[in-house]
Amino acid sequence: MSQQAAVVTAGWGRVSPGNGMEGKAMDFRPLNELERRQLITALRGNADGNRVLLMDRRDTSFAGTADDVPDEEVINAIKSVPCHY
Amino acid sequence: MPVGPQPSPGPHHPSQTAYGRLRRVVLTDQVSRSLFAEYAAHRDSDRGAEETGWVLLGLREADEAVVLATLPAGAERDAGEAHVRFNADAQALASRIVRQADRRLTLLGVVHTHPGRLRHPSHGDYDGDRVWVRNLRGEEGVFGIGTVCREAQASTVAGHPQAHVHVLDGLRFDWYTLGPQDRKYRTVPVELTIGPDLAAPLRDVWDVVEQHAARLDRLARQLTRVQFDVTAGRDGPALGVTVGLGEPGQAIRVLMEGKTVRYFYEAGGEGFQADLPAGVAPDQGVYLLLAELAARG
Repeated sequence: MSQQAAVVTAGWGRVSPGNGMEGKAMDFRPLNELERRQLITALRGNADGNRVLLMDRRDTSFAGTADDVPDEEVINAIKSVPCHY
Repeated sequence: MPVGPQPSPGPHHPSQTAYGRLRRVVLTDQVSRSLFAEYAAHRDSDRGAEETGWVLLGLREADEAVVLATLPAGAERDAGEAHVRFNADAQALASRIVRQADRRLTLLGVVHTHPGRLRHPSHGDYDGDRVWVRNLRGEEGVFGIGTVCREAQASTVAGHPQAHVHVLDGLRFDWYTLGPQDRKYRTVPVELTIGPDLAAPLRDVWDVVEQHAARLDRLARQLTRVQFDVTAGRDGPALGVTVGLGEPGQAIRVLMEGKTVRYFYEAGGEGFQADLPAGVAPDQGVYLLLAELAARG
């Protein structure tokens, strides 16, 4: 295993892939709870309903699922509607 | 897995749409009819002195909201002359059903009624709404206030006396928007277009939706191939649930009509009615049938 691969496997560090991306940070931070849930919902939608997964072309990060709105988002909003007076 | 910088955590997914402030609200004709007709029916009911309301589903465009469905407060709402809290479990299940056809539909806002002549949201509304709107696309909500309008002449044709007001047959709706930084609600022009209330078919089975909402919503979360529909039952409309099984053409079908729940197993173009003990809840019945099918191999 190369030294570079070892750094990537260890995660959490800066790597220099040598392909023009020198100096770009690769952030291997864990997803927070909301991000994790959003990604799982999107992956399920992709597997079950062929829904598109969007990727940020600059850094390959997850960028949502077109303009489909997840059930979870709508239902959370409905369940948090405050009392009206 | 994402390895680059992530979007800032927020209440909703990233969207392709860049949201600005809402410049107008568009209601379909059937949505508008639902609001006026159900408000009138509510006032004629034995709970007519209470407040009531609806949540609004539709499309959030860059600077306008198009309302395509209304979900009523429900019979199990908590309401009085000065407050209303909707039956959110029923509305959540209903949203799941309505959105089967169009997953772009999102929650746009809330309409509620006032018993007097207060034609804008109250201070109490503001305290809750300005926090709640952060849950919405564009972090801005649409709010309608229904009131009695005795000066509006009885007519079968709606009036539009101000850009943010519709009146019909002695009832009036005033429309506003609110963002989290707003010091007060802003009036918003409201327009009509031809289109459906996508939740209208659910009105015929709303009692069933309320009766089984929490369990059916949980079933839809637990199993991926769950579909809902409104269909003809034995004596009237019924709420149907279809749970797709592993093989093509195989499904468990549940029909709920009033207090009655019937179960079917469909395979190879044939249907078999299953007899389950009385009082079995719909989700429980589905799992009993799945267990039976598993035992039979």
